[in-house]
Amino acid sequence: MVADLKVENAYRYESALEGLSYGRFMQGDKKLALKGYLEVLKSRQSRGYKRGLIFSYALLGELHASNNETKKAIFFIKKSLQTAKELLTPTKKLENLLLLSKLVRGEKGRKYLEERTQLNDSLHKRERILKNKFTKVRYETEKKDKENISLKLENTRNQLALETERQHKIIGFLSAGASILFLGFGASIVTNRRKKLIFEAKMKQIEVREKERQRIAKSLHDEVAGDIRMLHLELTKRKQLEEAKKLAIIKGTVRNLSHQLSSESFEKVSFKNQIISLISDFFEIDFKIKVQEIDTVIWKDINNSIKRTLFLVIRESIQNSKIHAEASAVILNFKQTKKAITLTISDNGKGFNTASKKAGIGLKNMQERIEEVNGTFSIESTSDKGTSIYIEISTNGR
Amino acid sequence: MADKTRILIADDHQLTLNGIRCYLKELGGFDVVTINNCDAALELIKSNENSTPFQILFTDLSFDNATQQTNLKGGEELIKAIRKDKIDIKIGVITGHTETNRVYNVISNLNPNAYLLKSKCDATEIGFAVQKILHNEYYYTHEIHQKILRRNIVQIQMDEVALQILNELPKHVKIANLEGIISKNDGIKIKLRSIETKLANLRTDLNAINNIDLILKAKELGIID
Repeated sequence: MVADLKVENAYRYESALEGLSYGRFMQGDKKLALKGYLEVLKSRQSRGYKRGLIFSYALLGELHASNNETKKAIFFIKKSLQTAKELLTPTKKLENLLLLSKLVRGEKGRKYLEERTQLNDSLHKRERILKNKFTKVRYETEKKDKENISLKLENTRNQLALETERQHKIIGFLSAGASILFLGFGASIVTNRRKKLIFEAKMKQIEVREKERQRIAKSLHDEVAGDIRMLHLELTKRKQLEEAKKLAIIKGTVRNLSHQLSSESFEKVSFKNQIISLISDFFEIDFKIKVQEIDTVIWKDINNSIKRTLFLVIRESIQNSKIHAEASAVILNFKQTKKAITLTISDNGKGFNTASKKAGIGLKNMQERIEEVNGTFSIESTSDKGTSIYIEISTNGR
Repeated sequence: MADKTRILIADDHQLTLNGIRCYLKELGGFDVVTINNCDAALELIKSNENSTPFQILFTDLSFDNATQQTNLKGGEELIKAIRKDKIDIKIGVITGHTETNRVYNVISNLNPNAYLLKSKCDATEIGFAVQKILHNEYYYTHEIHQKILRRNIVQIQMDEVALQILNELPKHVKIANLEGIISKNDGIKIKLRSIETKLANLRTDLNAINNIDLILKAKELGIID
């Protein structure tokens, strides 16, 4: 069985044969053991397997020592020792040195023992150093590991912190942007709202003033004119005709005043009808008023205050054209764009110097009225060529 | 008493009521009742409708004594209420209001048989108006008549279609020839039927007897050249 191994695997064969031989040696069959040992030695030598040679030499040494062939024993042991020294295998060296010290007598044997002891010590020392080193290394490693773990932890913590910081930053930026947007939005809403509120307040103001005008007109018409009428009747009855005539003139003035102050509500009467009535009040054969494109404006969508303002301005300018400019024709031209109404009033009258301060309260009032409803008012006039008034009023208060 | 014309006068001023009553008394033959607010006026008209109905109501337009509780705040509302209830009574307006707008609105919306002005009217005019009213004719005092006429002129002048018709009419022998000539702002031709309606309205507005008279009046008034 052992022989089978010879072909298959040299190492195993050697080990098996060696073990077999050692067994025989222990049983006392020294001849067979020697033969086995030698074969193993031969095989190992042929392979150059030095580690195996150490064992072979040592075993041969041992065998020879037991046969009291000291010289042969020493030879083999020394060979083993030498090989062991070559291969730097201290344990084998120690064994061999111990064997040698036993075999070699006297001074030399003692030296071998000493050497062995030295070697042993140095080995122990080295071992210890190594052990220390290992412990140290292990300790350090552990320490490093711990450090690493803590570092890792710290790192993750840092990363987390960084991450959160970045997130915070992003959130910050986002919220800053959002708040800026919000602020802008809010501001625009606020300004728009404020504009709207101001506009509405102005409209309300105009409305209130208009009511006041109506009230005054009413009391003028009903009370003052009524009293004058009574007085007039009285005077006529007493045949004081001169005074009655004067009073009649006053009565006419008061009535005209009251009519000028009052204006029909634009809720009841359409703007176009109001304008028609207004124009018909001024109508004469030699004073023609032409209205153009009044139907292009959707008047029911226009704020009543704007309509009233336009109405009053139209009345004022027709009056100016008739009385001051002595015009024979006036043209009113309406236009509606998406956001505004424009009105041009032009006449063929005398014209006047727009730069002169004598332009009068009438014009100033007109301008003020238009500006009240956030409109623009401009006037152009050339001597003997007539006057043109341009009005633009935005329909949404902006 | 039965054949006397019953007249109700509504005005907020006692003086006016008395004045008109005096004028009517001068004329004679009328049974006159006065009232100073619109709610009571409507009540009276209704309560007398089946026994001794009023034939004529003369009313003012503005009533200063109207309060929050007043249902009918003025003459316009009173007339509207009467029209709504379809009460058989002729209506005349006697007022101080000469604002073209108001006059026009009252006349075109409420169609009273008469429109007189307090400051101008006298017994003769009231009598004339009453006669006209009783014959179911119309009478507007001169100033009001002028105002309405002027207003109509202005309105016609602003009406492109009306101007086209008035300008084209003298050039054609037959009205039917106008079809296909007159067009609206958007260029759509107007049908003969619409042209004829428009002409009828124009004749009414300008008090013209016929189309020739209409053209003459339009020229006279400066609507067309």
